[in-house]
Amino acid sequence: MTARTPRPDFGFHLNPLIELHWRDWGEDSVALEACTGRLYQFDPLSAAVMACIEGGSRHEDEVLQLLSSDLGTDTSSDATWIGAVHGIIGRFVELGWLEHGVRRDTA
Amino acid sequence: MKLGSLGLAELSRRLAVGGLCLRVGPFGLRISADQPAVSRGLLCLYQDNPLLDADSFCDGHIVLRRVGTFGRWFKPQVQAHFDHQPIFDPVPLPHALPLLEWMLNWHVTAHAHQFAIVHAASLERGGLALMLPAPSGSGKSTLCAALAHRGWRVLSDELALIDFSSGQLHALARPVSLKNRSIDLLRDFAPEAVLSELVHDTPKGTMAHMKLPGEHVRRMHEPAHARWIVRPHWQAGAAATLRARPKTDTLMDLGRNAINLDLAGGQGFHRLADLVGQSDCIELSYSRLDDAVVLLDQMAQGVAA
Repeated sequence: MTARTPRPDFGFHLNPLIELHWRDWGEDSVALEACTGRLYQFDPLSAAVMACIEGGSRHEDEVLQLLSSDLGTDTSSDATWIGAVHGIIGRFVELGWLEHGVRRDTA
Repeated sequence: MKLGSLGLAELSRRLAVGGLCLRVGPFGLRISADQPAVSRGLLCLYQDNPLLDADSFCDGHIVLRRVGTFGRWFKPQVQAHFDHQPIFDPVPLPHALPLLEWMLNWHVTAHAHQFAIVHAASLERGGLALMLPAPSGSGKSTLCAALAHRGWRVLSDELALIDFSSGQLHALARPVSLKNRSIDLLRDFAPEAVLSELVHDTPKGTMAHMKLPGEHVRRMHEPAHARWIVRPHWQAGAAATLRARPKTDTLMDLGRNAINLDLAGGQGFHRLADLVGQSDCIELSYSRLDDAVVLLDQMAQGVAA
């Protein structure tokens, strides 16, 4: 059974069956999921999270680090940011756009 | 040769025997029907549309045929066929002309995937196009019909056709569909408008179609680049206002009103997004048709936008 909620110990990658097209004008973004022809509207943080994961398989903390680097501020230990990113990834997992990838080696 | 040059008797004969090949925007369609109301309706609404030679290639053959055996005397009905396949359930015989219009819509939405198709009225003025994307019942056809009599050229009333390569909007050269109260509203607004006979008790209520001015039909092969995307919002008692809308909201709107985005895929999405990017995106609130038309005129003159 596929997990429908994000599991922080696993990385995430884009579902290979999904084809996304994006457009933004500096505020919210609009994405087309080409397989269904449906459009989705996302706030800038959601679009940024998705862009991080579209670039390759990531764990949540890696996404936070990439965002921190992009914004020039440390978001990786900020509970608000952590919660927001977790929620956004959860939404993408629920949409079927992201899949769990490799489990982190905790040994 | 224009359809109107045939006269009613010859038009009826051609419709009944072999079919009539009609140019409707980018499409050529063969139409067969033996209902007098369809002959009268076509002569009224499509008199300026060119006819094609009888042996010309046509995109499809629409046939309206009476159905039933004994029932045809008690409750006469008509069935539409497209390329010999029945489409839709039969409708009462008096609804034959609206059925033909629905078939033309169906043909576009089912087959014209060389275009990105959006449920929107589209008009042109000064070489620039205005799109009014909105679902049925939002008043866009009424507004479209009114603008047709105030210097705007109608490209389409219901289905905007967007060229994938150029992004231009193409004309369909078809009448504007009016329903219920909008028929009298339009008669008051533009007494010179030519309307078809009223058809009562259709699934959409009472219907009539407004003939496009002849010049609109003659210029059907002139596409135009979009410049304004306006969401019309009729609200009782509201003062007429134009308000800028976020482009993302407008793109979402186009997506909701898009007919074939699932087929058009990324190419269609980026075409719609380019359209939004190059256009002023606006919400029009209004209660009086005259005020809305004045505001859109000002917008086109660069005063109010």
